[in-house]
Amino acid sequence: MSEISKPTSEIKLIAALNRGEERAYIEVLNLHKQQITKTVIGMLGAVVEAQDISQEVFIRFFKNVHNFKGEAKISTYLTRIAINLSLNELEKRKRKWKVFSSGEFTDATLKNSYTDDDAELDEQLVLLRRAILMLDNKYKEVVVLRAVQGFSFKEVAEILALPIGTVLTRFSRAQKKLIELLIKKNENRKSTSY
Amino acid sequence: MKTENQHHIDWLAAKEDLLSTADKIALNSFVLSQPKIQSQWILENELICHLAKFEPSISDDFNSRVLNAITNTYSTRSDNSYSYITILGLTAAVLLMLNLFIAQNSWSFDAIIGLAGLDSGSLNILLNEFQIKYIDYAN
Repeated sequence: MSEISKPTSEIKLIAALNRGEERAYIEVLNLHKQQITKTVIGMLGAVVEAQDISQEVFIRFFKNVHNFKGEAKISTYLTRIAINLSLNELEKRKRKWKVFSSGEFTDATLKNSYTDDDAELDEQLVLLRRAILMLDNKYKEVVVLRAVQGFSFKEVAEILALPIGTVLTRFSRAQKKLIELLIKKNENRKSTSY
Repeated sequence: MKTENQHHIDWLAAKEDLLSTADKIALNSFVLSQPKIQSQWILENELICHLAKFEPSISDDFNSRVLNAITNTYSTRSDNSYSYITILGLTAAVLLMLNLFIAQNSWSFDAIIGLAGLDSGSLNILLNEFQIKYIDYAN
């Protein structure tokens, strides 16, 4: 996004961040922590590390704020960091536990990756979120940004530095995979309940 | 001829006005001929949109933990500058000592205080000089 189309408040905020004003740090945190946590949890599941990684996103941004020239919106920049750190974490997990190396999660792994908060959530939503974790990373990031975060396809393409056609294709495939996984999960549940 | 998947991609693109006129016309004719497929796409889309409802709970100390981490980084950086100054000071001291050793052409302990190679006679002269100066100053 160009500098001209950026709201004045954001330009002022970037200037205040560069001056090291604590008020500006708090404003950025309050504006974006919900969104960033949503991205990280979307990518990793509601695991204990999710909050640490969300905080790490802001720490990295603040440490390198002098390098931020304002060529993108703060939310775009933060989301990019969140996606990269989440992908790093997934890679780490892959190396750490062989259970992920096949690219498929077992049901037990999925259950372990959720906290009790899920009990309050709509069942369908929980199933969907679990299904997202079973997607390949390239599909996962597109679904998280588009469906969980509500970014436009253009914005998703900008964040992931991908052509818009690729984003649309991946989203379409991911949607189909998610529906397949949901149907499979619903069938499994029905068969176990009989 | 486009496949169903390609039409689905176009349908998604059309939602954000990313489609050319020709593709729009092709999509419309496909949708009119296959109304069931479109209703399936709509249902799937609604289901996926469900995900936006998710609101994570964030701990109260989120901000303070980030701010503390930033502050700690800055104090670590200032600690580093102190160590740089110490190292610089020690290096200067060593260089000065080397200078004394080389200037007096001696590696003895006396060389450190600049008294290398002084025999008792020259030391007496030095001490006398000092005494005279000291007494003059005291008077």
